[in-house]
Amino acid sequence: MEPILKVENLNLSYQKKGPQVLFDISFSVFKDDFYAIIGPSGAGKSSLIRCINRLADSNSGNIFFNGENIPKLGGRKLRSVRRKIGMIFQEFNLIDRMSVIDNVLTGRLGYMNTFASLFRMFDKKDISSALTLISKVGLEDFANKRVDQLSGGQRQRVGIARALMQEPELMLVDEPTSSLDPKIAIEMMELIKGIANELKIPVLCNIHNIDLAKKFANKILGLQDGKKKFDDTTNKLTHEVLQDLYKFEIL
Amino acid sequence: MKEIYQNSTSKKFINIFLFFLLIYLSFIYLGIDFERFFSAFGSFGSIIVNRYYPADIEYILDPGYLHSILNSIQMAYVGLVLGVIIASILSYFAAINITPSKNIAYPIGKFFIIFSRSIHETIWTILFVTIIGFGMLAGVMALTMYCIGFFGKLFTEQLENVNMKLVETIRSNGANEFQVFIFGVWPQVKTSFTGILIYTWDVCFRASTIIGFFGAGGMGWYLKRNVLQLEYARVASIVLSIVALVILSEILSAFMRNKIQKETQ
Amino acid sequence: MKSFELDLDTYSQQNSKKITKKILFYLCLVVGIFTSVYFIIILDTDWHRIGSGGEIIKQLSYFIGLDFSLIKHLIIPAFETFLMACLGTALGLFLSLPVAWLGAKNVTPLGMLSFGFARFLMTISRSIHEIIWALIFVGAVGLGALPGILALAFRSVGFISKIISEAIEEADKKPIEAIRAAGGSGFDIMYYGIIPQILPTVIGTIIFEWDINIRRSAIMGLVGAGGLGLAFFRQMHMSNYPGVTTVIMFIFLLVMIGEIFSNYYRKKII
Repeated sequence: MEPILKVENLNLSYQKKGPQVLFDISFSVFKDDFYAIIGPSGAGKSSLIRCINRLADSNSGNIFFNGENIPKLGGRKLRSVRRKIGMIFQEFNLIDRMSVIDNVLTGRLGYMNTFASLFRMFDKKDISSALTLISKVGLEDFANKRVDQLSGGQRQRVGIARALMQEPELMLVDEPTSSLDPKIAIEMMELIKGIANELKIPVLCNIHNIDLAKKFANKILGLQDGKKKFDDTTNKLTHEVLQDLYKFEIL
Repeated sequence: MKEIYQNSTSKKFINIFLFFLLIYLSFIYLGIDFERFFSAFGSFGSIIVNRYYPADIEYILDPGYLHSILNSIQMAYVGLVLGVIIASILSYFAAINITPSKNIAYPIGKFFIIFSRSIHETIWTILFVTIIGFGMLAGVMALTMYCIGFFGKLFTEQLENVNMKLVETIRSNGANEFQVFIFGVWPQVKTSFTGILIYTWDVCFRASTIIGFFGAGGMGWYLKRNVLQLEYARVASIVLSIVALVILSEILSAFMRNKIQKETQ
Repeated sequence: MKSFELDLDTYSQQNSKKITKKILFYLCLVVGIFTSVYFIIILDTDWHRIGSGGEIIKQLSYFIGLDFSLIKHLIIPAFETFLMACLGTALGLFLSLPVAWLGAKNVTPLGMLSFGFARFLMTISRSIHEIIWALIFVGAVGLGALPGILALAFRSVGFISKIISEAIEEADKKPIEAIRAAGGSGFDIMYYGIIPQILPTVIGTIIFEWDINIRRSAIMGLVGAGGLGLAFFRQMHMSNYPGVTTVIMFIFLLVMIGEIFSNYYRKKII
């Protein structure tokens, strides 16, 4: 079976002469994976996620997705690849003054032309998918409400619905629970995992809470100082490995 | 301990002394007579009463003058519109976080805005009058340049303070640059855009009332004519009408601003 | 309580209403802009007098090029312009202090009377263009640098005193209370309680207004105030257009330097 996402020898420094953030990272994500990236802070987890859809430009290495090598794409091709990759953010990143449904519909922007999006001419099919997704994340009672009037957990769910509007083939999740309190965090992870399973979408998730990672992921990628230190199924993640991974972090 | 305290107070006194000394020397350097300086405030009052009072109100009710008031308003309006349109595009270039190209667009945007801003609106007027001749067109172009500089600077600052995370998000959805602007940038700057717009109108209108002095259309032209003819009473009434209109415009602007604030709450 | 539920039809309805409103708004805006531009520029202008496009280009081309011999003669006027801006701002600050004190709701002595008076002064200062101020002062003291400085000062009072009075109003009451509790006089409260708090804002505002005054002092040459403004008018009079361009470049440079300085120090203070 071919992997959905294949990362080969990825290197990243943020500026030409800046410090190197990622060293020679390679791994593959398959269709039924829920891949968690763990590691101490500063290990490069966020940077890795952002390289995948090129919110950050890697220096060298390949990222193969659906037969395209992402670092080499430009303009229109890059946008069409980004459409297929949904992203969920740590700080939700919603448009504060717009309603839930309007925010969710922005997930469709990659499929619309500028004129239509200027006048918000979403077609009926999109509107009805949006409404379906909104109920799927449990927010059907809030569809018309302004998002800055929602709680943290609710806002994260809007973000999830928005990412799903893209009909993605891969989900990138960047610290989905850091801004939420622990009880909501577990519910959120269950929601994400549930939807991913139902729609058969692989997930690459960046998470700093190891217990959540072990509970929900089937594969773990451990990073330390930008280097890959562990890449295997969850059950192989032993206490010794964790100690070694986090040895430099003073908790 | 006492010594330290004395040192810092004496330092303060020395600084203050130097400051006033500098001012004194500057006045001397510029050839300003201190007698004149202090007598200015005295003779001021008597000059006003003797020459400029009573103001010739009839003069400003003349239809020609009223037409010039309309001209000033029109010039300000067109100058504002053109200036804001151009300034918005230039601000987009000049905002370092969202400029489409850091090497070409950014310097161009920044340069034009700063250049438009450094030249006073009256100098712009004189330049355009020289090139195009007298009249409202020169005035409109001068006001356009003025508005580009004024609006551009303020709006660029707003754009640079935008939360880039939202911009990133829209970009990650696969949107193109226009969509990123409409959904990522614009919602964040919408209110400040209108606020700055109203503020720019205030200064633009104020400028339009007097640039006629240098050859553009409008009330300033009447002002110049009467100053040259030493018609002090008329000058007084023109100045009063200008000030009254500016204050009126400011009241309207404040009202608009409040209305918009209420609507967005 | 309004329900936030939605269904397809409600949203489509809402949305198409919004869309139509938006399209109409933009259409009116565009039409409005085009008609006003048409009426005001195209119809109202005497195109005959302006001359043909060729003449305009010719006139424009006269401005291209710099008069290098002029440069060394512009250094002193540039310094004069700079100095006038400084003095005008300093005098403006000096005049602003009493006005700001009267215009701050928490320290104004005569309640609404003095507060209203201060606000009136601020409005007058801001509404009268610096050129009109210059004309007024030329009438009072004659030509020279003095009316220019006075004009800059009186023009600046409006803005500076407004900001200072707002800063005084927003000052934290706690240090003031502490000084009053320790037995401090009105002066002590001002000097030790309020001034330390508002100082950064005041300095920032002064630097900001100083930067604007550099731009304004260039035109004070109108009243014979000297500086780059006078050089500008002289070059225009002599029809030495490359010279005019040179003076403009000087003005631009001077304002740029002021702006860099202003941005740098204002960031440091904040």
